[in-house]
Amino acid sequence: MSLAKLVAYRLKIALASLTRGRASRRIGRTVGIAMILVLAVFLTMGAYAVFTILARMGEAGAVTSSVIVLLTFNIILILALVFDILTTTGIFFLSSDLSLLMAAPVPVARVFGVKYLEAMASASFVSLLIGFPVVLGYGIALHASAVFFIALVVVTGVFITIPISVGTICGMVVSRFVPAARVREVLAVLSGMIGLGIWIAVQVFKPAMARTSDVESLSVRLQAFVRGGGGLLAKLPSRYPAEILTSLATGKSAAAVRPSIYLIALAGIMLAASLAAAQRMYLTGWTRIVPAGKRSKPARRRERPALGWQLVPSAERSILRTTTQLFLRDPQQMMPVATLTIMMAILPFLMGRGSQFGGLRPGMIIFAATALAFVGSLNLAMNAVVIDGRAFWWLLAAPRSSLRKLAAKSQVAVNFFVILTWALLAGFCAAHVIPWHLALKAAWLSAFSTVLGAAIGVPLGLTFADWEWELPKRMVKMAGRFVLILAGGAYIVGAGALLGVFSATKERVANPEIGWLHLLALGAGAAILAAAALLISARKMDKMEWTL
Amino acid sequence: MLALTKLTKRYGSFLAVDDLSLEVRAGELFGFLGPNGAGKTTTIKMMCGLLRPTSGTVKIAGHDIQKEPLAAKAVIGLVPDSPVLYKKLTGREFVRFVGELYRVDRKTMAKRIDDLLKLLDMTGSADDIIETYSHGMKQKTSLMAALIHDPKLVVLDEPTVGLDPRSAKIVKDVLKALCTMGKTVFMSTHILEIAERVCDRVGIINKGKLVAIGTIAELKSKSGEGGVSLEDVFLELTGGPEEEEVIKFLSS
Repeated sequence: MSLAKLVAYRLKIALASLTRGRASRRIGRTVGIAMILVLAVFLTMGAYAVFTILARMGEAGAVTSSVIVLLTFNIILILALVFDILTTTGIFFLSSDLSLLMAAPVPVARVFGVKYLEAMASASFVSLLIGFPVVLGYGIALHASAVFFIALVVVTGVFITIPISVGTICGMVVSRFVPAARVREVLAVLSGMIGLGIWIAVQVFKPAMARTSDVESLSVRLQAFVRGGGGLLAKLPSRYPAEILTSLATGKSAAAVRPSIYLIALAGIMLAASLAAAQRMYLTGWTRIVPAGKRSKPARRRERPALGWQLVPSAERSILRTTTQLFLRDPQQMMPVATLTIMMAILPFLMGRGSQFGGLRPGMIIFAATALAFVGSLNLAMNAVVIDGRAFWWLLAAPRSSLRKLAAKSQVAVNFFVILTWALLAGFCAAHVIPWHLALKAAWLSAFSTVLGAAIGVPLGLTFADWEWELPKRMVKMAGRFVLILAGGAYIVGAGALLGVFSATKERVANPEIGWLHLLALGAGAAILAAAALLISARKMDKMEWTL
Repeated sequence: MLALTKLTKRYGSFLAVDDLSLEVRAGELFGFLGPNGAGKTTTIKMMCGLLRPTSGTVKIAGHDIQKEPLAAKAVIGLVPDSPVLYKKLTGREFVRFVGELYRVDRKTMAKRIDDLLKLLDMTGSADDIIETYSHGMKQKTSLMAALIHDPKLVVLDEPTVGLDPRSAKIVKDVLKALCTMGKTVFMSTHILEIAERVCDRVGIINKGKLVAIGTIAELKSKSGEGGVSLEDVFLELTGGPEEEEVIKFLSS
């Protein structure tokens, strides 16, 4: 079978997954695609507006525009690399269709080819969604010729092969030494670290941008940022597409020739290298797909649980412990949680160190802590219910009341987010001047917000669970994710309004006694709502039928 | 020990289980036979409280699964048709988890886990993560989990699928041993040789209806011809002629 036919089949399958299946799923997918298109249009319009302003500002504006285009390609490069590293192992080594393809009389190089294109589409989607509209807006703002827009498509296509090839080679090299199922975990940690690095860079970069009062100093800062770290950002291969497109947009076509040659040469070299690596390593790497996860040593068997644990009945303790283990042992589950934890640990120290309230209004500290607690625990509790997947029937079959089982599930989210928000508040207190009673109020409210979020997450998890999930992002159906966003938004609006009213009168903030009465009432209200949510979910679980 | 009375399950217009009644006595090894899609798994799920019957009742050791679910569930150990386990736990952790769900005390559990691991030849892999297990190992882990709380009624849905001959023999021996200890075993299977060898009584279900019930000898005698096998009886009751035609077509 030719490569073209293999690709055609793959496209057919992808198209079928969009157009077939249940009506609700089809509608969900259509809405998703529409939202992506709307986002792309908004990004293009935003970029157009910015570049139009910069175009009116002479040399400084032109320099700034070119630096922004360079940074955009840097973002495309880094994001495509991170996503490719994350997806490469799954696509090249763990796809469900690989056994069929490898068993069929199809040359391995062709299988690699179709998987390479699949990885390219999968890994470059997000980066192109962000980057492409920006450069498109740049071309429109500068009234570039048709050649620019054709070149934009071609150059981006050629450029994207560089990070994809690098990611593919990395994945194949690692798969020589580590079983493929473990590769994904190793590379997930690696890409998580890269992602965190980008986030920290953005946090450092953003205040510098915010303090910039005019275009000239913005240009100077941007250039300084690009030159920073030995000018690494200016030396990445992203400079070639940036140079080609800025040259074409400004009518200097001759200047685009040299970077075009460099770009094509580099992309060709990387593609050839990945093909050579595939010839040597792909088949052997694939055949190394041995089951992962042999524990190096037996788990320590504790005869008696720790003192605090003894107070919790064994079934609930067991559900709580097992659910926590399921999160901790799956890097795909753990990565977002770990990234959020690290972000929260760093955040207080990135915000105007030593200043009063870290530059925030007092109410904002309470608001931020409670919103994080609610939205985070809501999400985690939903996932904690669904994380069992098809094995959830063991809980249904167990002779314990549904209320107790679900309370144990929600406790996972409560434990994590109470610790996280309190750690965040402690960080704020350590880094900034914050009155103790304000920190205590925030801690009190965030604890109740966590309980409320976790309790509401449980019925949502039961309602929108996709028990047959394979990837963590598919644990909850699209409608459930939509409801999650709505619930989070409703809480943020409601809590924001409440706290706005609360902190409008400075006297009340300054007087802890009045504040505590309010907080007691809010806490009691949250506890009642949480209890109601858990009772509803217990009734729902009692009525559940397990047809899987 | 187990009494199903007029048990019916309907999915829209499709009747999965139709007015099924049967009783299984304590200490009995009951085989539940039927072709694919006959309603075996649906019946088992209703017995264990995972599906609600459209009508009819299930009583386990005198407890109605609908009215007293916790008491009824406490005496059942279920081994499902496909071993769906927590793949990120080790075998030992998983069995311990299930034991704790059924409130087995720590000392008893540690001993029972070790005994079951030895019995099912799983000691060497007890501390490996379940995702590294073969299908047969998962099936055995599932069986260990079902037995950890020493249930009075063990319900098995196709327990020998995917097991190598040695493991299948172990499972059959375990089931027989359970019955001699006074436990009741309800096992669905479509491997007639197993049913013929180990079951005290069998029930045959076809298109949701119980079409025959009795000991192997009784079923054979009902067939009317001398020297028939359980396979012949089964094919006669569940649409054998079609299968015979298929075999003839394939061999022609």
